[in-house]
Amino acid sequence: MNRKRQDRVTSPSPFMGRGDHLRSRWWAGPTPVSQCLTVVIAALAVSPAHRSLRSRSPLPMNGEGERRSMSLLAVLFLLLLLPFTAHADAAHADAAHDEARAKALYREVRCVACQSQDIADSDAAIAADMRREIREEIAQGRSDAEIRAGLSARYGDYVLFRPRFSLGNLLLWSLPPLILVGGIAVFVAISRRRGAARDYVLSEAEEARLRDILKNDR
Amino acid sequence: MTFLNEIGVFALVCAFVLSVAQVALVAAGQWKRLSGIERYSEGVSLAAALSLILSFAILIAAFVRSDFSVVNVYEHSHTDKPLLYKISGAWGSHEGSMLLWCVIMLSFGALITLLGRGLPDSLKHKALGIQGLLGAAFVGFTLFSSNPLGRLAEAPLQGRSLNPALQDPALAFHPPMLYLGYVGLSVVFSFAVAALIEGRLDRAWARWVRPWVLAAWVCLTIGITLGAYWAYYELGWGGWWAWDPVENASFMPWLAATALLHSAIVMEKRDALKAWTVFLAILAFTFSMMGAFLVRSGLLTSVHAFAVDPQRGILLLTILFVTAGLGFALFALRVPELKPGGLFAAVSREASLVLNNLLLSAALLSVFLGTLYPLLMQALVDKAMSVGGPYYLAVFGPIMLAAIAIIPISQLMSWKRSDLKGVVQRLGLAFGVACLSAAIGSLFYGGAGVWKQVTFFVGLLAGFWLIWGSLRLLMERVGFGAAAWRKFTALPLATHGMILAHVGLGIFVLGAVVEGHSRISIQQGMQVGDTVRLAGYEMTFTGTYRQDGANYDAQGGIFVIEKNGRQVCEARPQRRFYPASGSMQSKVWLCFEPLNDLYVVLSQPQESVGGKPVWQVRWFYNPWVRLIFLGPVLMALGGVLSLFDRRLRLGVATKARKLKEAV
Repeated sequence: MNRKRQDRVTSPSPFMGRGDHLRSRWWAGPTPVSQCLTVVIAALAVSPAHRSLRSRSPLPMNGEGERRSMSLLAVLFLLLLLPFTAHADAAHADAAHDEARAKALYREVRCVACQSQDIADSDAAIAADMRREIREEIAQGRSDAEIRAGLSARYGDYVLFRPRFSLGNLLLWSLPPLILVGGIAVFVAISRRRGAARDYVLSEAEEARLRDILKNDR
Repeated sequence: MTFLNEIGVFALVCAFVLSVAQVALVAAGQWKRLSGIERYSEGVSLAAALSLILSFAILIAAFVRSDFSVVNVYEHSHTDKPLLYKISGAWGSHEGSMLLWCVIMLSFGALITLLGRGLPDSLKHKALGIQGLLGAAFVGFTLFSSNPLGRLAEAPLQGRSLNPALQDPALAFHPPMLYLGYVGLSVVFSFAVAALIEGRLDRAWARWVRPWVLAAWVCLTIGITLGAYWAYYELGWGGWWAWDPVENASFMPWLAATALLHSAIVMEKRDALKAWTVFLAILAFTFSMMGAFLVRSGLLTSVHAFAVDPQRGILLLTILFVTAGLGFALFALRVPELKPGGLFAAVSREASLVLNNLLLSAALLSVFLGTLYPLLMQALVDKAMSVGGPYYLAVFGPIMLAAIAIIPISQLMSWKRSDLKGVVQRLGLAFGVACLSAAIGSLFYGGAGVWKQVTFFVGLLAGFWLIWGSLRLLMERVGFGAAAWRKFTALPLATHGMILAHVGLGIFVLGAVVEGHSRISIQQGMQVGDTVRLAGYEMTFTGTYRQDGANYDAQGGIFVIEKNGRQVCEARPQRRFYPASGSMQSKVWLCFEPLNDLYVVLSQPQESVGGKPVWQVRWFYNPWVRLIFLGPVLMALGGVLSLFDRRLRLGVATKARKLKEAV
């Protein structure tokens, strides 16, 4: 297992056969049988909804229809899980997992000699070196966070395309969601106030009547 | 005609003076004694535009004639360049592109005069005044700090030629389209400020402004897409969007314009969101100017280069702060006086469009922060940092996902008060079909790792949800019966436009998700006769060839690509040497599989092994990448359709008024 990984690292072209790898995975995971099943179940699931559509009632949701549409949704959500059953053998999945991790990391690391390019896309020599470094560190069992920290210690924060969560980067990360939440809150507040103001404005005559009523009450 | 260029400079001076006069006339007209004088600003705006167009024509002529006595031509042209690139060289430089910016700005000022017959005079003249102010600022900037027609003491025999990477049809038309969009927003800005001065903001205002917003948005969409396509096939890195600050500079006005487009609809139909719409109108052009500042000041190449020659940057920044500051100050002063408009419930189309606007604003903010944060950190604490794709994926991605998720729901909602449950029920089938499509898609393109699977599925779902949700709307309106075609043609063009644009966005999302998730590449040193394999394809290096281009010498490789033993295409990527600038340029070869691209790039031949040179070859398999460029084209087409809707057609108001007068 470990030796296999080492081979992958030191082979002259680490990219060799990646496409075939991907290709074989489609079929290694979900068997043709499970794929056929997907299609059949899907067809069954959609058909009742289709009938309710044919009946052309715009809001057909009596109890039975509602239950049916809920079951339709449940089946569909189950279907979504099918693609995740893809990993047939553990060793294969492990290697594939490492590969995916490396690829994801390449996208996060800036090629220090290029103009705003990540090392996945760059064909500069330094980018190839950095890719090799990352693959080696993954093979040594380092975590993504450790690898990122190592890179930033060697090359500076400049090398990371995903800025770290730090005090200095607080605004960068938090402002967009805060503005969104704040905006929604302000909008709700304004529309409430406006609605309230509209509802309770009384004319002078009404005010006078109100005073009368209150006086008589006493 | 040796003095032709001097005429050009003179025309530029004239345009500057006329723009100042345009502002002065409108300002003087506000004084009681001189009231009425402001109507002369109309004629002046036409004259200013004409003289600037003359100046620009003379610059193009200088490029076409290869008049190297002009600094700008000497630095960016060459006698051997094809005619198209000689002409596009006119806006390939800083000076030329600023002139183009001004030409468009003053031409739009003239268009306010020409198309604005239906407008109330006071609003039209104030808008002309503001447009003149912007025009004067930018023409003055061009004239005094970046004269495109400046002369050299002695004319050299040959020019230094345009950067070969810019010699490309997509990039010849990319700046004009983009500038039409940027500057189109200046008209919206002028109208917004004019309406604020007037203190009159109503549905009629929104109706006048919407075609301008729409037209600017269409141009921006096309311009950005052309830029992305250029980056994709010219730069040879296999990608199409890098979240580079220059790209973001064009994307921010687009996001603002998109938000404006939607809030202006609410203002026109329901007389609500007035303050917000005007705010966005000012904001959109502010981002246009900021884009111009970022790209044109040299700030992005390096903060230090900016510090060495800050004159242009400081001037642009001053224009930006003064005009935007003026707009926002006026906004703050006038907004309390605005009468609140139409009311609407929390579940209504208005509310859903408000949510869309908030989401787009948050997305805009994330792009803004991501672009400026590194610059600020560098300037303030001298710390180098990068903000790139992963940040945007983490922050911009979910926000846009939410914005996309509400589109089909919003489309089906009714104005004022809507029934969420009913809308959700009507969309049940579309959601089911979208889930199914996404599940099938994940089966075919899924990768390793549960998290990747989930994000991939969610991305696909967003795309399919948009497409099926929009088609559901079309189906509801048209149906399947015998009357379907009649109903289809009877639908307002604006509805067709909306559906098409949203379907286009969905197609774009699908392309971006699949390409971003499943793109694979291989890089390998190859000799003639070698074979490599990628994603089920086999590529054999069969030979090399040479080609003499108009202004370059090319060396190319011939690669035969086969699938299952059947030849799919023959790729002939090149490396071009441009002697004029002494630079090399890779020319990518694209093989179009229906939706997918096979993308072959050649690098320099390296050391010989046994006498045969080894070529570095990069080969990408980019699934569904065509959709990334098809989607925005459909979106722009949707915008154009909507522009031709009867309600928006310019001049309708005039006709109606004439009819009334006749009766």
